[in-house]
Amino acid sequence: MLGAAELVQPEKQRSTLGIYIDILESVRELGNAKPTHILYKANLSHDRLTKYLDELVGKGLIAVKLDGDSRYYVMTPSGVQFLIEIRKAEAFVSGFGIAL
Amino acid sequence: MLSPPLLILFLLNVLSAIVALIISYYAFRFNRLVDSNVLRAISIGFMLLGISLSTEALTSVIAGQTIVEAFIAPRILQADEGVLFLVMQIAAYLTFAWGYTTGAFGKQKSSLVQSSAVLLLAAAARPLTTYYDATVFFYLATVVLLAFVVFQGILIYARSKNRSPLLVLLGFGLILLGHVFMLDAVVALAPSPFYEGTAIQFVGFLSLLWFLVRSGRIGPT
Repeated sequence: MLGAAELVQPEKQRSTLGIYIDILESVRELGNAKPTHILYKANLSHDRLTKYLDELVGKGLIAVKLDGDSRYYVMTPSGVQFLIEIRKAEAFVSGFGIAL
Repeated sequence: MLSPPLLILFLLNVLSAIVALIISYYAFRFNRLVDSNVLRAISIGFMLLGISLSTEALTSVIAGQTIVEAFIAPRILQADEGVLFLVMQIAAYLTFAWGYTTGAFGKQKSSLVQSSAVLLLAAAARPLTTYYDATVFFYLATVVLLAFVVFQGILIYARSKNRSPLLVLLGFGLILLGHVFMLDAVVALAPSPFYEGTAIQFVGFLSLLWFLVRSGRIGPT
């Protein structure tokens, strides 16, 4: 006999979209976010964080700000809009048992 | 001139079709972000359901009678024309069931379940010789498929305990109840349960609309 946990969608590894969301949420919460702080908040290794940050900058969802030797990341208006769309999508898909 | 119950039935089916098509659009839109088989099935299923409900509304308004009334005393509408929307309806619920089995069992395991279900449906449909038998079969198969979708909805809600899966479960549950009434109407050749079933189905679509409005309200925090 199958249990409820076996019949509904099993827990999956964090998807690329899930990682994007975690990074964007971290940047939004931190404001001017240092890579180290994002790394802790998004729970990523340094190499993976660098890769995903570059991708998000390339997509125009976050921007890099340089202040002397320090490097900060900030949300762009597209990034804010993307997070709103993602939250709507999350609320919608959760109704059908899908996790982002 | 349409009788008031038929006019109400027409309006309820049109409004239900609109809700189904809106859900289909949102599922399609969000699937571009999420890329999920379940969401793809939801999008296609609701699109088919929207077309099926529109066809049902249109055929009943052109003929001036429902499919049940067409079996009792056929006027313009012949029962075989009514079967068209039932085929689309069953395709829609098959798509939902396909999506949910893929989501629950994974692609490989679910293909076995899906093929068995389709073979079973085909085998059961083979001896059907009259349009009446076919209509009863389609309603019965729809009830079975909807029962499976509702079962999946219960499991999803039991795991999350959130309002969104509850509204979806309520929606599909009421659509199932509506189809039980419709099946009863077809089997007993009694028009009134058909109208009641359509009204219950519409309340189910209202629940899905509420879910849609609720998920669309989420904004920046």
